[in-house]
Amino acid sequence: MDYFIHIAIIVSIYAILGLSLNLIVGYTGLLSMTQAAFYGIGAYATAILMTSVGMNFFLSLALGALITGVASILIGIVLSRFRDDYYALGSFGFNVIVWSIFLNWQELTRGPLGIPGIKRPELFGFALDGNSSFLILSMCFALIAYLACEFISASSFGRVLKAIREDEEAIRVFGYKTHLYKLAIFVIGAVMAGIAGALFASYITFIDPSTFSLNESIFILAIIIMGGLASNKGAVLGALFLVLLPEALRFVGFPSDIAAQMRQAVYGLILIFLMLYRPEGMMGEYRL
Amino acid sequence: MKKSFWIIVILVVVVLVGYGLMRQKKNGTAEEYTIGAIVPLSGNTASVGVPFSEGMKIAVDEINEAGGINGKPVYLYFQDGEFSGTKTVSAAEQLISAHNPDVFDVLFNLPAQAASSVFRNAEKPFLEWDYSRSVVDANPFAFKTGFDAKTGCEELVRYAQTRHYYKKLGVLMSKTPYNQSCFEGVKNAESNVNEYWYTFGSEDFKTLLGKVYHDGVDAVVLIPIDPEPVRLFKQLRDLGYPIKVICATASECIYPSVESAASPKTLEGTLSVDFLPKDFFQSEFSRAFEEKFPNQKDHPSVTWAALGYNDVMTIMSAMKSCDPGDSKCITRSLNTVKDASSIIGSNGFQDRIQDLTLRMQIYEKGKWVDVE
Repeated sequence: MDYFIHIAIIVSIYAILGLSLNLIVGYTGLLSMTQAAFYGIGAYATAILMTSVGMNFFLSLALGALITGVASILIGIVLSRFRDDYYALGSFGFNVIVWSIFLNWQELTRGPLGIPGIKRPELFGFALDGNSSFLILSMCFALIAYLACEFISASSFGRVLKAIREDEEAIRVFGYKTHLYKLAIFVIGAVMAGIAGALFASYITFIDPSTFSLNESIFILAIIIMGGLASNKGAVLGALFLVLLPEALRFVGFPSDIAAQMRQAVYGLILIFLMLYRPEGMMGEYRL
Repeated sequence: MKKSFWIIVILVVVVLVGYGLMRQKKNGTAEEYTIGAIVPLSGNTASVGVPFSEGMKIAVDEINEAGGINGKPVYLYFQDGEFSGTKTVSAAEQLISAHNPDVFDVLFNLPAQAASSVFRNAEKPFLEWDYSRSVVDANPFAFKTGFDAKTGCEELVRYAQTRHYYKKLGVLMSKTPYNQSCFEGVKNAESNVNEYWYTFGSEDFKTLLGKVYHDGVDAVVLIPIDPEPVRLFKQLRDLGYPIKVICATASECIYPSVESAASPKTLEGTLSVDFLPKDFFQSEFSRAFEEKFPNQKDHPSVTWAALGYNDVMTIMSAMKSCDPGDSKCITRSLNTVKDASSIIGSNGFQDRIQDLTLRMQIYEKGKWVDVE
């Protein structure tokens, strides 16, 4: 049972990440590869505040989200000067920069040694030590993230984002300051990713730079492509599918000598097959 | 395709996971001993994980052919940790749910760190092959196997000082926990050290070697992992810089692939340390492994296989005085085991750190020679 609960927690965390990136890529059409960086900033901020300062989880999470928000404003202002492919490349570069900071700023992050001993949350003196209680916490955050994304996408703000995605020049002609909308949604997405990072750090109780590399950004992008762009339900389903699929493949009876490699190959083939027959993803509104 | 198709696909995957879990034989019973092993079987570190797992399988086969432990068979369950914290935790949770192993074995620091809390909560002892001590210090169920980078590198540098091996020392290291620990040991022995760090997986050493040479550093310390030594020595040969190398461990630093890639002049005088017995590469284990896996003989695979084999033999010795499923007894027993059938010169644990006999070595005329 603990195994299922563990998977559910990981799905919740990735659902938040998928929802956060979906706001930026799916609704606004900005191909951002920085989500793992914000995931990492949230995780590291929370981990450092909890282990070095002794702060409780919820306060660390709030401060971690704030720090992630500030970082995203600075990064977003620079990225807003780019468009299309250059935006993607610029965001790629920022992810690498942030990851390098995690790896090299040893006085703050302990570099490759990572930060161990991160505690589980405590709420009114009650420790959420067990996986079951942590699952409730992570699902609450995932639900809040989902509802927030639904609210944003249905609001007039969300309609402007979709208009930017479809034709930014046209919406600008109507007097909308599109760079401010883009920056706003970038920051909202980043803060959500930071919250996911805080949850991850406290759940695994150890973080290191390798978790927040460019590969992780690509994985989060794959979640929303698989789930379907501009669909909040799709982002959640994409997280469910991409987290569950490799776990399901653990049980397929490949010969032990090649089991690991076969799982990777089958995983890749399934993704290719699904993209061939449903390129807009499970519930997507449009293709990249 | 309709959206309902995708809902069905996801449900199928969920059912597969659940069905697979239910179908797994639930062990940890009175009838068999079980070991759960989480090693990287894919990705960059599979070159270590795969032979390590082969060594473990060889040991388990030997034990079972000899009648098992206390007449009961030993089962070994592998999961691919992919050298990822999240995947290792998933693997640990899956093994505990499906098989509830008596003891675990985890390769490398990062996965062991990530899964440490899972093992502590489940009160499962685990051997973690790691060059640093960080997991052992934080978890009473952890037993560290493998070379201790901090003390080993300190001893190496102190020995190099007695031989006036260098005028100016540098470290040329990947940003990894084991090199970080080695660096701490180097600093204990030599306070004036130039630092040259690279990202694990980098293929270019020429830029850093150029900096080393122009800074006047004449010897560098590092712990490389295959294929880093092949690239490093080849590029050092190409550049022709007179930089000496101090590395750990000997068998992971210079092996047949490295000898093919570099020149004898480049390798001559390399200083190292190892825990493998003198005649290890002529041993029955080495010969049998190379016969079984002829395509791995140019790499330090046999060393990794020996480490995996040794871990299982250590676990077996601890299990002898315990019933199957009694993880608490195995934890106590691991603390005191001294009579394990070791092929790497280990003698149990001291304060949960593997007790290894180290030998200083220098590479001369095409082979490693003991210097003490």
